[in-house]
Amino acid sequence: MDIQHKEHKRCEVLHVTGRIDSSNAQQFEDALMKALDNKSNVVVNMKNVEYMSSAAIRALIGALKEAQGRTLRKGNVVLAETPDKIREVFGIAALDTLFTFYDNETEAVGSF
Amino acid sequence: MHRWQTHHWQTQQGTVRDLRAIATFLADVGAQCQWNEAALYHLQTAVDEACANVFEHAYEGEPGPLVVEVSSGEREVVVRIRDWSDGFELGPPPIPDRTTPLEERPIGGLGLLFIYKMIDEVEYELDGKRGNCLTLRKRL
Repeated sequence: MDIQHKEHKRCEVLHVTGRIDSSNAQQFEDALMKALDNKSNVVVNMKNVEYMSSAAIRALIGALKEAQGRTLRKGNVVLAETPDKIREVFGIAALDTLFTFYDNETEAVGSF
Repeated sequence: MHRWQTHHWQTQQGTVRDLRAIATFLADVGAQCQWNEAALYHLQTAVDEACANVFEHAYEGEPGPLVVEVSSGEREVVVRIRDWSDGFELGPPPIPDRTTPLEERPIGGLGLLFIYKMIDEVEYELDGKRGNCLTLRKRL
């Protein structure tokens, strides 16, 4: 897994590439929390994610809870360019109503 | 007539660092047996979650033996995952409710949910000698 950061005025974008499973989900969670500390709002560009296990999804839920649960600088975590096969697992987990999915990164960044 | 093909992957000192190799093994078998893309992804997900459960919970993070046996037929794939731990509780998880607000959502149990949703039949047999066996049957 590789994570590239891109900072915008109102959010930070994480470009994630590769596979996120139990061996590297903690690294993914650390990157999400660091981005939230920096900007409050985070876009995760999923275009190049090959696979996300339940451990990776738990990291995303944790980050969403952290962002929305803050009393000061409340934020959000949104997903962009999510491949269909990965979107399917969000549906199975009934998480498709909690996360906002954007077809492209520009739209996701523009939502903040 | 299509004949059953059986392939094995095994380790004596397995950890979560082996999950990628197991996914690659399944992709190789899937290509050889011409599984469709969705079936491959479902099998990779279920096997990844099952093996991660063994490595993280059954072996509690210590390296341990694991065997993945894949038998592929014309209409069905059967995966047997053997471990030599004390075993673990396995059963269908509760179906999540879309209307539950974020703060009340349970954070665990997703791995089991993926296994039961993506696989047609799931069986688990405890056997300390031959190895505990999780059997996953997926129709093609």
